[in-house]
Amino acid sequence: MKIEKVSSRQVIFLIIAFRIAIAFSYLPAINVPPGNQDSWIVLIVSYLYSTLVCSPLLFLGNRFSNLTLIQYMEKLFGKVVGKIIGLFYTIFFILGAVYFVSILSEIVRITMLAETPYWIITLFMILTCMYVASKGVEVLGRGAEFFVPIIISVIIGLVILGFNKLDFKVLLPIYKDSTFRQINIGAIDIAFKFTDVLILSMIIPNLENKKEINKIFFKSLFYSLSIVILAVVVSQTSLGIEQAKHANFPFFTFTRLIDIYRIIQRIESIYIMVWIISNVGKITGYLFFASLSISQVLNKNKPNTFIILISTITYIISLFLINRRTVLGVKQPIENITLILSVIAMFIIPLIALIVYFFRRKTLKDKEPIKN
Amino acid sequence: MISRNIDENRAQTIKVFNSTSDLVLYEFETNSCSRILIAYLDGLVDKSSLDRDLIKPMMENFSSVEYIKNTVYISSVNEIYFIEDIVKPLVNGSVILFIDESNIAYSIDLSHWEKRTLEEPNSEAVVRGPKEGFIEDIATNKVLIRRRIRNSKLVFEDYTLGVETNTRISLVYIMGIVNEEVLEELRSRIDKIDTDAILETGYIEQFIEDEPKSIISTIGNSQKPDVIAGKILEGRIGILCDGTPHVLTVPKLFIEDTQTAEDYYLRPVYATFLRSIRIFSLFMSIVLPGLYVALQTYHQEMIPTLLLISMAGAREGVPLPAVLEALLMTLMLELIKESGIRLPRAVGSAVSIVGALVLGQAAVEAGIVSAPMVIITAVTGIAEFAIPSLTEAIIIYRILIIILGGFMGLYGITCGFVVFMIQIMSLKSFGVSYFYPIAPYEKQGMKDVLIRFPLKQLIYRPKSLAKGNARKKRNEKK
Amino acid sequence: MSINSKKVLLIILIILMSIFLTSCWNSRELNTLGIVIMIGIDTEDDEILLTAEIINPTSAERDMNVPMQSRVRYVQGTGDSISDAIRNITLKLDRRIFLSHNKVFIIGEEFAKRGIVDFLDFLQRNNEHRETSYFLVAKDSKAYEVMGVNGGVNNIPGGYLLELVENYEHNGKTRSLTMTEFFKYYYDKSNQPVLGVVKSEKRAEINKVSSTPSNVDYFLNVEGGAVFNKEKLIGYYTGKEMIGFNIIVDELKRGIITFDTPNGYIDRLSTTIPPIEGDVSSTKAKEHGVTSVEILSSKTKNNIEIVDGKVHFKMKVDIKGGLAEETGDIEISNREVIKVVEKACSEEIKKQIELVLKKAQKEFKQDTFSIGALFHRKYPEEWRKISDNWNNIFSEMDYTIDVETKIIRIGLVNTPSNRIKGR
Repeated sequence: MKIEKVSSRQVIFLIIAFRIAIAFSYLPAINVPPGNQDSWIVLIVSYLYSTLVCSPLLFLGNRFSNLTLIQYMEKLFGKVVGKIIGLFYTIFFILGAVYFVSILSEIVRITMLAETPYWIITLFMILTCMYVASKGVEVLGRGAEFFVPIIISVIIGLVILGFNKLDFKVLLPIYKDSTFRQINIGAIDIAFKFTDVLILSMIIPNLENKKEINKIFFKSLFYSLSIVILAVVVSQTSLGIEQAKHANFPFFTFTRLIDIYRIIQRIESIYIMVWIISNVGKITGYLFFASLSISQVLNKNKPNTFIILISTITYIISLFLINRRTVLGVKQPIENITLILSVIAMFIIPLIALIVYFFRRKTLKDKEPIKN
Repeated sequence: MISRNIDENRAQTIKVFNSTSDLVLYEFETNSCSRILIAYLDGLVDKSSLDRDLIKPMMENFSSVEYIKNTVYISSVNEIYFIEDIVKPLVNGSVILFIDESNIAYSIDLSHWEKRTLEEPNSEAVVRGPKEGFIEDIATNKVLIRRRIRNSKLVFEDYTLGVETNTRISLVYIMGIVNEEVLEELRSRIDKIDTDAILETGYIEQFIEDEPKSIISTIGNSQKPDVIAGKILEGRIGILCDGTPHVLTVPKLFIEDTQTAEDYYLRPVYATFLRSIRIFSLFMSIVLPGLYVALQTYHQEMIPTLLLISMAGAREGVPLPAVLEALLMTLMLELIKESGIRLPRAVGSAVSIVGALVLGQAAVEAGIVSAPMVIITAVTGIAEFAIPSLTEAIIIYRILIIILGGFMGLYGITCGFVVFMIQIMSLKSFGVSYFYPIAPYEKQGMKDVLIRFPLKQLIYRPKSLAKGNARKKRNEKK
Repeated sequence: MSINSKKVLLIILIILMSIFLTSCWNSRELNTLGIVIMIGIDTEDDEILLTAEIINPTSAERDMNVPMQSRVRYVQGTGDSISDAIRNITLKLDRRIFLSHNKVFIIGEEFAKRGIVDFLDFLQRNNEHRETSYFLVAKDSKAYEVMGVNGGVNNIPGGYLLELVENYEHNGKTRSLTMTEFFKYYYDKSNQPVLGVVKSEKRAEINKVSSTPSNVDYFLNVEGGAVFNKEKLIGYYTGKEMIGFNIIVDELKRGIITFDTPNGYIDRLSTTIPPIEGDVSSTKAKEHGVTSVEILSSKTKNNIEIVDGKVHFKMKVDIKGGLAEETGDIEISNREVIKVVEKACSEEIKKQIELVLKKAQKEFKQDTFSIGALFHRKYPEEWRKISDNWNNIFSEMDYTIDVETKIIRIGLVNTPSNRIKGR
């Protein structure tokens, strides 16, 4: 079977799209401790923590550059445990899709279509994502390559349009109201909230240039962090620290402030549009990787057959979730669950896998030469 | 087998052609008293040449069958051994020569028929650049290309397709630039064509294209030899077909529709400006009515207040919901366009005027549609013609976007936009990504997308088209 | 292939079914909307009374000659909360209330004194509102008394008021604060927001014969500012004080500063005005004229220091101005004279700043100028200790004001019009 190839550039854009999707919805960075004008410092510090958290996965990805996460887990842990872990990741991806579909439906419902029932909003999103996912990873990469520059330029354009609303004085005094401990806690929190490195480890076999894994990771981390910092700074300086924390979607509120010559006003829908596009990328990614991992757990080489199944499951769960409670406003239980799950998925399992790898290095090498 | 008896040959020929009335059979005797029968199809041969270069020398100088090539003053003389083989030369305009007592017939190419003169194709008119266009005759078309690329590497590859029509088609490409994989793929697809009739390149297009269900076409076409020459110089393959002035090119990229030949003849800055206008109008002609409907029914906050007030005033008393209004007007526009093309020119303009008056003024005054909707439809209609090659796709996309915008607002439009773009991106034309060089991105290719760089800097052919030979050749400096 | 096309067909069918069977949920056709352009909020009998100005699009668009009364409609709703009051309007109006184009909120004085922030929650929470709508306090009146007054050229009263508010660029005597800005100040621990003010005034009768008693005889005035103690209205600044205020918060765009022409520097070389024969009034010469300087740009640098345990506020104002008017008897072309005028202007500005600072310190005992935020930036450690007590510290605070005026334009003439330039 011919392996679909994606370029490094496409993967970088894909990961950026994934991060934008979270960053520009509820902008978690504003609310993590210390939650004051030093949020941007927190974000910069989180760069280090992200690297630290992701290093086991990166290391393993470099070692097993022809296998996805699911496949090398099975190789490391053996059939049974490996399959269980694979299943865990599948569920993790499905839950990710559910979470983001719910958030998206809720935001769209609040901001655009106040009277449209949830099932139709969600259905539209799932159908779109299902279609994109069924086209495979190559088209996903191309989509990211085409859409992400548009998204970024729209966001930068919005910032420029609203530049006269910004008041950078609120960022002062720097690093005076927050302690070292608070900043580090915030940074760790953020480092765990961005689970995009999993995408990288799922996409590694399709990479055109496998030597660039680390480069892709650092580049995408850098670019996406810069964009998040931009969003945080802009929301804080335009709304004030406290008001930004009050807002459910701070950057969204910022875009509502834009008013140029009384012609360009209330253009938040444009922002919502690009945000929806990035979310399509994210949900598609989760759907696609969920079906990829389930197909690899079951040793079938056809992820496409599972996409419809996975999408249907996602649709039903998210409808169930969203009709019962609000995902965004009252974050507590869901946020904690996702945080714990992502800590397990991103750090603990890869760490154990890494330890196992070092113990079984010899035997693995004997079995099969690892290509790099 | 050709019979030695000339009368039998005559009967055979009539039988093969089912006593068609345009088959001309003429018998004469030479000075050396041999009986000679010539057969041709009326109107396909050059009669003066026939009389002057074939019949006259035959009558006067014919001595024996061995020396026939020394007798006639014609360059293409082929021998025929089987009676079935006379069909193809005859329908292609050859004269068949039967000689008594000889079991060899000769086909002599004297093809000549009425052709249209070379005119400027009115669907691809240019201000600057050559004005001549292809015509229905494949030989002339070949000449038009050959005249532009005087090079031994320019290759024509002939096929005959269609069991009934025996249409001549011809691939044209430049050896050394063309991507061999694409060429091989194209040959195999042409071999697989199984049809009785090819009347236009549109037939071929549908047999060889990658995604028959796609709204947007993955095969390009043009009526202008300079366009085709430019395309094959970039590594594409042209497909000529007898009987039509439209020449296909494969593989096709999405950006080709936004490029015109004139872009390269004009100054780069102006060409860039024109190109951005074209891309903008492509976007507008697809999205504008849907966007208007979405803004008007879902996102009124985005409309500036004063405009909103006047729009609301215009909509007072209009019975239809905005989405139906937009659909109605779009369909009306299509109606006017379609009837304007089909009707005789004199009547066509009358229909346009009536349509414009009725749709534009009377409908607004009667309060059936609102005035802004008429403006939007008109703008869309104008914008559409900036990219004539995509008209078919634009209309379908536009209607879909109107429906989406009418029922889900900008959310629907966004989802639709993503799906359309992803569909376009997933297309492949003969193994080449359709959306190259935007996605997959390629730096050199981007020099000819939104911004048309000066020709000095356009030193690479599109890399996905001309694999391994993308660098354009330069004159060797002495 | 056929399975694939069946799938596509099924999906299309599902989409079409979902679209047509459930109809379009939120489509709001333009001709079903009541576009609100201005809202006034009052309390009456412990209930909230909400007045909305709604555009009547037919007459607003079609015919410019229709009387003002039919271009807009006023509807009122009462309720226990804002959202309740807005919903109750639908009981009386045939259109759906559409708030997205509401540009101005007028708060009745009574309501403002009661406290406004609890009602602002609705405006922040609801998606339809715009955060950029202006807040104004109706001085000495109910909000609905101010509404419906159109003393300007604009077609509709709401547009008229909006233009007035946005004129702050030309005159520093007013303030325009949008909702977001209000909240920025509100959440700031040190600061008390100052909102714009609107007042309905009777016009001096122009044509006594033909004038009829109607709304046209009134016009609106947005001079001054309303001072809030977090959420309760506690007083007003006058127009003159607002110039000082705007200079302190560095928001002054344009404005006129008028002061007595400094005498004592009259150019003796020039001839005096020849007395005009027969004109009695001209013999009574004015003591001195007034000078008006138009502020072209104003830059304020605020600084705060702790001197001997006391907070000391330092202001440095840089004004670039143009001479707008001169009725005194001075020679402008003289460099020395200009310097004197500049100095007098600085003094006047300083006076105005002191006026407003004093009022804030003594009368309101509230920091309305974000000086606390300045303190926070400079002394974050100390701020933590004193932030709760800031308003007291502010009232005791010392200040030095340093104003420097530069007159960089003198206009088309050099000598005042009332002088004759001799040799």
